[in-house]
Amino acid sequence: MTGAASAVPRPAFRGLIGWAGTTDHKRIGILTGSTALAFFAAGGALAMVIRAQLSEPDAHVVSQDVYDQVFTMHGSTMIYLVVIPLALALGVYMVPLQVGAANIAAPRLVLAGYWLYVSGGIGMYLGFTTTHGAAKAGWYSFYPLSGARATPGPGMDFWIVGVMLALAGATLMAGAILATILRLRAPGMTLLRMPVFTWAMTATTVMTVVSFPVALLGFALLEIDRQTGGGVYDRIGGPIAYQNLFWFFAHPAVYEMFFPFLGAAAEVLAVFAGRRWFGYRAFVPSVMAFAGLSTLVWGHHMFSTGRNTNEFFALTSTAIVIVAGIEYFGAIGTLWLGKIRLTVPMLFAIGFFLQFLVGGLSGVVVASPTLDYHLTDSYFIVGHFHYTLFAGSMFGLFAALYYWFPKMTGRFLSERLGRWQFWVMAAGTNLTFFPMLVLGYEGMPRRIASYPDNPGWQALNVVSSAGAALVAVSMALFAAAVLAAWRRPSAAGPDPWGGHTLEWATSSPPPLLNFAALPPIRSYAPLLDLREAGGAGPRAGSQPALPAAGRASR
Amino acid sequence: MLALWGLFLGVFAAVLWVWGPYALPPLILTCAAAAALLAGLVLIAWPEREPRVRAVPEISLPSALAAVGATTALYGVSFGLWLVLIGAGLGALGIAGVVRELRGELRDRGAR
Repeated sequence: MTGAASAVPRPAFRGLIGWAGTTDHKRIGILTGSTALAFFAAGGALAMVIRAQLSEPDAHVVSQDVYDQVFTMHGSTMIYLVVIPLALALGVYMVPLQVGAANIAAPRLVLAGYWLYVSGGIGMYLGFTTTHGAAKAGWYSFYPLSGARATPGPGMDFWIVGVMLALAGATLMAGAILATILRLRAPGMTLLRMPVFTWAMTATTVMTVVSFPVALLGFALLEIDRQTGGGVYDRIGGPIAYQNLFWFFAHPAVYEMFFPFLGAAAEVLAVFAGRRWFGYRAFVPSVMAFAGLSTLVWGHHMFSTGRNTNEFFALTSTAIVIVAGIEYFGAIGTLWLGKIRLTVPMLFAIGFFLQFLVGGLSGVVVASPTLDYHLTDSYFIVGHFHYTLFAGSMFGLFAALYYWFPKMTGRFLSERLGRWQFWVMAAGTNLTFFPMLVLGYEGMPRRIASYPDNPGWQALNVVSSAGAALVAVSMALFAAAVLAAWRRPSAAGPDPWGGHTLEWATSSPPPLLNFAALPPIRSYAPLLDLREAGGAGPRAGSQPALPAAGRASR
Repeated sequence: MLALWGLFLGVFAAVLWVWGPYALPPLILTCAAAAALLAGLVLIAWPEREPRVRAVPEISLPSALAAVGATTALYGVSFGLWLVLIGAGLGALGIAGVVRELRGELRDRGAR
């Protein structure tokens, strides 16, 4: 735990330069999140091209070559430039506030991480300007497909370097968040008094610092292989070695794109049910065991390679249902007998748990090697991971955004537009991704630009494309909500929801060093403790009563 | 916590060594377990210091410059040595700036 903090005086830079060089964790969090949302718009536009191409059996919206670039950049954008950065942006912004710190640990590294991430993203997209086009070997870029012979041209090199930079940036951010959790907690904030979201970020960042360097190694070797004409992976076992290095990063990455949103949705559920998170002491070890299991099950992506210990990876993958079950049990227990307020964040949080369940249960199916042999490389896999990453994580993201937007800006997002967004997004999501599960089960391969006119395939693809259009409409509604908050602000006050955790014990938005004073910390929900002790309920725009005890920013 | 987590991975790495005929998967997992265990042990052995004043910088343009320099140098792999050299130069300037900032902060702390 840290001592008092003091701001180091520097020349006063305002405007863009002030933002470009900011070391305030809140500004870096907003920068990262905004940049990720901009990339989300780009990745979403690419998704619409994919859905237009697949809306009829032999469509020619784009050529096969362009289609390969489009689905590669769509997947790469969403994984490397959108969901992982958004998850870390939430952590960069919220973790120091939740643990009562004045700033994040190593803020310069976090700032450098942001710039590595932005430069990486720009580099990946620069590939479109080259003669051979952008990368076209998928977001995983398996070897030899990603080798110099199969994918010549600098677009693939830009992609590799860009992904490495984005991952290096994410690793720096994750390391700083973890250091903040381990070293900068306020007095009284023991590990078992950390909020649920902070625990979720602990699991996320531990996995990140362990697994991302392995990916950096794998991609660096791939680039060396391309530059040397096949000197690294182009030998017996090379492609399998690449897959092992890649999936050791990429499988935990899937959970790194889940845990922060699980933590955010859990906070929302507890606050809007008016109760503490049910089974907090079971949640903590289970989320760490969840992270451990997630780190060691990467081999289930390689069942069909024939060079994998399938029994081990099937058993450990299936064991994940136990720890996931504990989280779901906690969610149900929290809602049970709670005084539920169905606000927009609550709708999205419930949506997160329900939608992710479909992704999780379809994951149990492909955790079985015998079933995976039937379903691998089919649209079932596409449906499965979109249910986890979009239907799951993005609902969690919007729960977090609607919940914390008042804290970040001091303004509310429109409740009416938020409700519309939720229902349109829920309809669009299921219309888009459920048909993919059916199509995959019937044998439609993934990554194809055209498909045979089999009975029912076109109808299901049309439904999927129409659903994607609805999802686009729901994103436009979110943009409208942000615009409305910008143009017609309604003041939120420090604690508009009756929050439980420390971020609600300061102004909205928080000042430079976060807190003027901290309440005593006797549990993971210090503000709820205060209310229970004083009998005061939450009021919109009300400042929670904060005793002078506990000086700020220790 | 980190050490426990490393042990958790280590147990499964041991099972994977025994169970499977392939060396690379358990090797990767063992390295990850060892890294987490080592980091955890270092944290245990390195006790938290007494509360002290922590300098919190408001702005650090050299940090951004160092990152942009590293990025430029890496993209030079595709563009050519000239870009690597420009990137290295920018990176060196950025790192020098960060060092200058840190020395200033140490001086301020000493003066307080």
